[in-house]
Amino acid sequence: MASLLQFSKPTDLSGYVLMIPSVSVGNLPQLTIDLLIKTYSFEKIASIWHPAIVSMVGSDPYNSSSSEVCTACEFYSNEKLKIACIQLRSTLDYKLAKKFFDDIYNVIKELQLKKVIILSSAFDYELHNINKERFYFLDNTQNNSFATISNIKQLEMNNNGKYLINGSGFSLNLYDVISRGLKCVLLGKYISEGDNRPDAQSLLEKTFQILDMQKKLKNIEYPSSWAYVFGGPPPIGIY
Amino acid sequence: MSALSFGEIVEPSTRALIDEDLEEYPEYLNITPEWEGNFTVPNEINSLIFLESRIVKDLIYSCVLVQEKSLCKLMNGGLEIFALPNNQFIVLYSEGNGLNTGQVVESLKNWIYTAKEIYAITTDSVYNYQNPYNVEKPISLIRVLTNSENTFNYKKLEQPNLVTGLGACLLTYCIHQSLGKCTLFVIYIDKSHLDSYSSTAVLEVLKKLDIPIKNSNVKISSTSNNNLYM
Repeated sequence: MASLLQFSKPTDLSGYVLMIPSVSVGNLPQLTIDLLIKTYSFEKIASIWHPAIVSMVGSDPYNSSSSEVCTACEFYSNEKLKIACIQLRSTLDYKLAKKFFDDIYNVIKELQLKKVIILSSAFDYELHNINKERFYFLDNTQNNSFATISNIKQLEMNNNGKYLINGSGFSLNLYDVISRGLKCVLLGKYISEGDNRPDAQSLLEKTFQILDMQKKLKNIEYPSSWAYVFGGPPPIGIY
Repeated sequence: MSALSFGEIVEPSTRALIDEDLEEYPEYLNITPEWEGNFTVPNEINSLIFLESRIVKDLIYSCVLVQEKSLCKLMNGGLEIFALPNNQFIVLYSEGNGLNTGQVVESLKNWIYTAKEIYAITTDSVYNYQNPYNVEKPISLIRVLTNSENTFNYKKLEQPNLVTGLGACLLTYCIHQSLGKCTLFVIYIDKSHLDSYSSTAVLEVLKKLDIPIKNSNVKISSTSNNNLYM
């Protein structure tokens, strides 16, 4: 099999925080990563190949005049923020998913990262009391700072002694694998399908809060590919 | 998307529901590609042309291959390779059980490395095309994505349109391996089968790739693949 990560130049990611989105309700984690990449001008540093990733190609989602092709899974980073992220624009072949989790764990283990944050989202009908916290987390770092953050709760195990988050895709499975040997946080928000742009913004803000980087928050910029969230412009001929 | 009919069942579109019941993913099983025929990589491949989607394949069988026998078949991957004059090779792909597109592409690694040029042709419904312009969509249109120079007189596929399938997988693989020689053609057609008008778009691309067309005046059966409403 081809190597999973192919860096475009020598890169040292030691001490970086890595964010990985899980394919989940409203594609919220992917939207959040899109906002992060666009707002903070992240640089694409590597392509990712794995047969488990359902392939997808399109034009550069952040720059409509670029001739670059975007693929289903790409690796970005920002040197100033010391944050790297994986953008997964497609889904995984469930038969190969386990191999993908193991392979990605083996690769990122070598990068000497500070921490991995898995972003996810869950169906908000799971929230029986809408006044309760809308964000949830799981953490293997034993970090007490979560107690000082508002509107967030730690996930609780169900009666079978397992965590269950409906609509969160592979986030728990990936968390289980990565937390075997790396510091890992699973962070998500209860949402419903629809226009999830505000949710993405709030998840990004919450992520920065957890990283204690609120001062680095900037005015959010939407990628140009979001211009057609509700479809393209109407043809002039209809008027 | 076309207009919905009354009473039509609309499946939820959220990808989050895919594999929702999979608390545990199955253990990975290594599947070995099963080739039948002569799979030896030729010394020289001028162009390797991948075609997917049933409608293009029907046209290729009628216009280009015409009783040509395949060099080899990937039995558990839905792939067939045909040799054409001038070291051109056509690869026909249909999705099936067994290997997924990523595994199929990896099994063709040596062919991909040997080929000077790689082309992939795929089709999609024009109704899936997100039109960024204030004009009506044409009946058919052709767009291109490439990791080399776009020397064809077709526009680059505009955002936020996306392509999936074997063609997308090939282009991804070539980008990842820094093989700057892959071009993907997306032909948007307004019908689920080809007629004389929409087949013109496919034939036009084939001609640009110097594929010898033996018979351009063909009748393509538009019989549906199922027996519903016969």
